[in-house]
Amino acid sequence: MNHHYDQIPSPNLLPQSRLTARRKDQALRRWLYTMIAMILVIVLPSGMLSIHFRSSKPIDSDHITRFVSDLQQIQDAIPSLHRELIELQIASQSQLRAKSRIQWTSLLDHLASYTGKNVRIHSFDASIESSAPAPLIRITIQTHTQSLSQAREFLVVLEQTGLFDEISMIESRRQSSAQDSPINSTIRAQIIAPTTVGITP
Amino acid sequence: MRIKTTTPIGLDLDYNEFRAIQFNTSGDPIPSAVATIPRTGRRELIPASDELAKLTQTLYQRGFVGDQIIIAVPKEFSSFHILELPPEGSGAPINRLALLEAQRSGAHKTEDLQIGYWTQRPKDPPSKFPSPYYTVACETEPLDQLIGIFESAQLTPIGVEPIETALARAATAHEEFIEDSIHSIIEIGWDHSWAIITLGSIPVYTRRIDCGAARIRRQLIDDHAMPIHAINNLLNPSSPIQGPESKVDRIIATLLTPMLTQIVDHLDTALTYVSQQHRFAPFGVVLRSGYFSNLDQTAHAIAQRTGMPSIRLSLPQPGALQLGSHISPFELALSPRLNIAAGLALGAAA
Repeated sequence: MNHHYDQIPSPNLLPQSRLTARRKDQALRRWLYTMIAMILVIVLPSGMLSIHFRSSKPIDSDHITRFVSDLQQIQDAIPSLHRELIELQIASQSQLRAKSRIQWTSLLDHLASYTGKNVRIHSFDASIESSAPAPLIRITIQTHTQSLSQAREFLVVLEQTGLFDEISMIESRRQSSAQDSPINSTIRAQIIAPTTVGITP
Repeated sequence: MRIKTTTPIGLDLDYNEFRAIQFNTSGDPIPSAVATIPRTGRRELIPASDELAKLTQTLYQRGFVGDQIIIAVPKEFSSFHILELPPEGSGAPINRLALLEAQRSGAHKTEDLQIGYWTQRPKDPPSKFPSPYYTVACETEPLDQLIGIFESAQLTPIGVEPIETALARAATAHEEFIEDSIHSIIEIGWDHSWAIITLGSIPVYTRRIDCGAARIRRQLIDDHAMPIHAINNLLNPSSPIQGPESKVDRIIATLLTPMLTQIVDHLDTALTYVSQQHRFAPFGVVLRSGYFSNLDQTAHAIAQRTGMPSIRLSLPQPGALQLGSHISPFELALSPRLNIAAGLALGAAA
């Protein structure tokens, strides 16, 4: 095969007017695309920025004064807020430490060993009060005994353990009007938790 | 940037059909898509909208790539002239002179013409004497209308080339098409046929012959009452007709004889004229193209009258056609009719 296509003349009778019209059309299309690109790249973002600024409120001197005043109030409140924060931190740490220092297992063991067969503990409740400088642990014990003397003996035994900073019987009464009905007693005790570590602000 | 791997679409049309072909441009050109699309039978060269819709749809379905097309100069509105003009490089306004000569010839009713011309290869040293310019003139208005119609179908004509140079380009794939010999290309068209004479690969003369496949079709309908669909099948064979084996083939052979006689008469006249112009050039081959070019009867008629061997002008790399996914054996059989379209497309591959 001898492919010499380039040696064959190739006259083109495409009318010049068509070529001119096509070139004009291409130029117009190119111009349109350029304009669209310019709109997208320059005009559109500019317009959006302009709209944004127009919609914003004007900044006046009153606005600035109010802003400075608010800022000053916040600044003034900072020291008291700081103190409050420190106290809260101390209290919370003391509570944690108190919880960890009281040997709850040992306390309950003692209670169990002192109840004996005459005293039955009906309920046991403990709560911590965050009273500065040291938290207070309040314990409420409700007992069932056959007689009032048995309830008092139990109170004395608890006093003698030395576990409590303060202990007292706040209520004692029979369950019913019958002479031999059991006695329900409420003993309240409190332990002041020691605070050995302080928090320096 | 997208690298083009295909040529523009070579698009040829007559009253009967559109013929389109496209080639791969990597290495030797191999057809990548081929289509022949029947027209609706109107006697208008300018396609109607329904024909255009069918054309664009088929191009898409057959795997054609891009919208650029190269079309042939419509022979109905064009003329061929050999003009003696100042040599190239003389500074003379060749285009203007060629236009004036074409206008003076009286071949067209209008003076609004488009001109295309070519010459033989420049001599070394350049000639100081007038040289022959092979010129094709086409009426602007119908040509512009045709281009506008294709543009309306989203196709972009980038070239309008004479069939002479397109066929010469398609013929260069044949080894027999050697330089400095007088060759001929017979193109049997739908309404007209052409005898194109080349010196080497340069077309130097064209003779229009007023007969074509439409005449045979008309005779089969009028004289032999053959149904149109049967005739269409005959004109669109799925395999090349080899000889008068059936009754229908015998009828066609009978009808073809006077038409082929007319064609070879014109061919002989054209060859005589050119051989007198180029006395020292030996005769080469006759290449057969278009309708009925695959018939032995056509080859015999040419050989009998001119004494020259004739071969069928086939597409470059015809074997590769069978490998193309979009190309069917049916279209392979039609390949003798695709030579103009192939030459148009290959012009852009050069």
